[in-house]
Amino acid sequence: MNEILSTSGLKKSYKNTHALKDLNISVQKGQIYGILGPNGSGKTTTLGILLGVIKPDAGDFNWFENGSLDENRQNIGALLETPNFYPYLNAVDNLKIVAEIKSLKNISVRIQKVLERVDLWERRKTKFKAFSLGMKQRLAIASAILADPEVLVLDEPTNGLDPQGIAEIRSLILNIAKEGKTIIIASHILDEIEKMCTHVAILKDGSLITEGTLDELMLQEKILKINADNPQKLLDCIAEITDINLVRSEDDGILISVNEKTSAAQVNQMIAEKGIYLNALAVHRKNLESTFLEIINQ
Amino acid sequence: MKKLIRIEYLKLRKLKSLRAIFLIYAVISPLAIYAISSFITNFMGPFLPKDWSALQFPDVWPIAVYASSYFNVMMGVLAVIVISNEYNYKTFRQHVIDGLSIRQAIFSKFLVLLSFSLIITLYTFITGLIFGLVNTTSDATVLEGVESIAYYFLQTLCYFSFAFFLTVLLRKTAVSITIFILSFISETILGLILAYGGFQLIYAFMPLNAFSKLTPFPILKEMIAAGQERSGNVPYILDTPINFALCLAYMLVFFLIAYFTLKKRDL
Ligand SMILES: Nc1ncnc2c1ncn2[C@@H]1O[C@H](COP(=O)(O)OP(=O)(O)O)[C@@H](O)[C@H]1O
Ligand SMILES: [Mg+2]
Repeated sequence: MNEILSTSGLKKSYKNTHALKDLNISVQKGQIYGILGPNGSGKTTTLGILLGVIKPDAGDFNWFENGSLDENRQNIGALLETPNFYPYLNAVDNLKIVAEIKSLKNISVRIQKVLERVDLWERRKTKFKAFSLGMKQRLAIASAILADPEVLVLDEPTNGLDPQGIAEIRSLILNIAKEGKTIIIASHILDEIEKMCTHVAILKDGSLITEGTLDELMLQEKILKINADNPQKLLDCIAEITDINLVRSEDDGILISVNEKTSAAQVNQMIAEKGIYLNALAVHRKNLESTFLEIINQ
Repeated sequence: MKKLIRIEYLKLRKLKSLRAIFLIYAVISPLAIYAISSFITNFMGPFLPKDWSALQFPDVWPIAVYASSYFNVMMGVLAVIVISNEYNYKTFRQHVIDGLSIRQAIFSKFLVLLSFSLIITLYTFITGLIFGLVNTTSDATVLEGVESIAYYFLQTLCYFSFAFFLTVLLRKTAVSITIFILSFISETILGLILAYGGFQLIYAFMPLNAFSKLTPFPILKEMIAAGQERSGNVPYILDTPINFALCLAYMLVFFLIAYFTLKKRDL
């Protein structure tokens, strides 16, 4: 089994917002899959649906090729928006409740192991309400890994933390990822996704803008789609220009890649110098940062 | 189900408000039984039937449940706290994320309320039993009149169902507690107005009043009979089986509305 998660046509509206419009994504085993999008783009809504606490208006999701059954969540550890625990209970007592929900054996051993891992063992008797935000977040991660699940789902895991707290959480997540776990992280911070993820989906206003491996989206190149009256001649001409690389030829044009710093006008000129005049030239795909900045600035 | 009970036990055993409310119940309800029985014996002599004896079987049972019913509002507040906590702490949501089904999460709340009912009913039974065993001089048996305890059990569940219903609708602890308490006051005021206009029958069918009549004032029937002779304008009391069925129906409706609201809503 390699497909951990797939969604098809997920939709969700609130009174006057379309929080999610027709979302289709797929996550494979071992990926660190980032869902990147500005605030309000539908990340939490997506994860809430996948975790059974928000009901989609339409669409399906499929965990472990086993549909959307409640039992799937026994094999998922998740933090959605905020760490949710009983403030009047200490760390250990809170984790005991989670252990019961997950029907775990060897509860005390497991609890000690995860609390040591998130560096909270010394504070195990401290009530949750006395925890700092960073400690709460770490307890939530401890809780998520308590059952040693195959998948971790983390919604804005470093939200509100100071730089040291952020660094701690990130190294913790990367550490967990090394065990081969599949991790899904939602964040509005590009840097975070860049530093941790292998795959990214960019979300805006509830729609998927792009999805791919981090390498693809981090390309230092810009991909353009061009066309001319005589496509064959255009292909020949591209082959002669060293600064332009052919990506592939499509029905309605030719995809080329150029250095990120090369402007569309320069491309036009280089081709014109060879005696061919383009009748179409459009930016096809940009790298992660420019795509994301564009989304945020709109 | 055992799993759900274990989960609830883990979270409730260290809840201070729960400890405080159960402690108050445990200490004060026997005192209330004693105080009310003395009050009736000492001040209501003219209404008392022959052979009536407050702390002896079978008369101790109606007194015990009537006195204990004064704590229903307090227990209802506890129910509101226990349920609204799950909203405030977002633990209802987290339990589902962690792997419970929404149905299990709701059902575990029913189990908590059922356990509360069982505990306080058993406690009242034991208190009544002790009073009866210590004081009874006639040859009445323990089980005579013990059906009052069953009515009390239903009554506690009825109050809990109403608390559950309100909390699910209102979510916030303070708002739910306030509305819960105000409901009793406003229904009573409405009842007085209705009575003034001669509509006692309608009042008899209102939920909180119907609930309270499951454990009526021990010599209510006698007092109404006396009142009837004097003025004629007296509360209308439904026959016990009808009231029992009515309360059962209200309880089911409250629980079902709470259940389906929770089931339908996003967490
Ligand atoms: N319970 C809700 N009621 C109304 N609107 C909501 C609710 N939850 C989310 N939204 C709206 O849906 C959109 C997506 O929200 P969300 O999924 O939380 O975004 P993100 O997690 O990416 O910040 C936002 O416009 C938000 O205001
Ligand atoms: Mg969010």
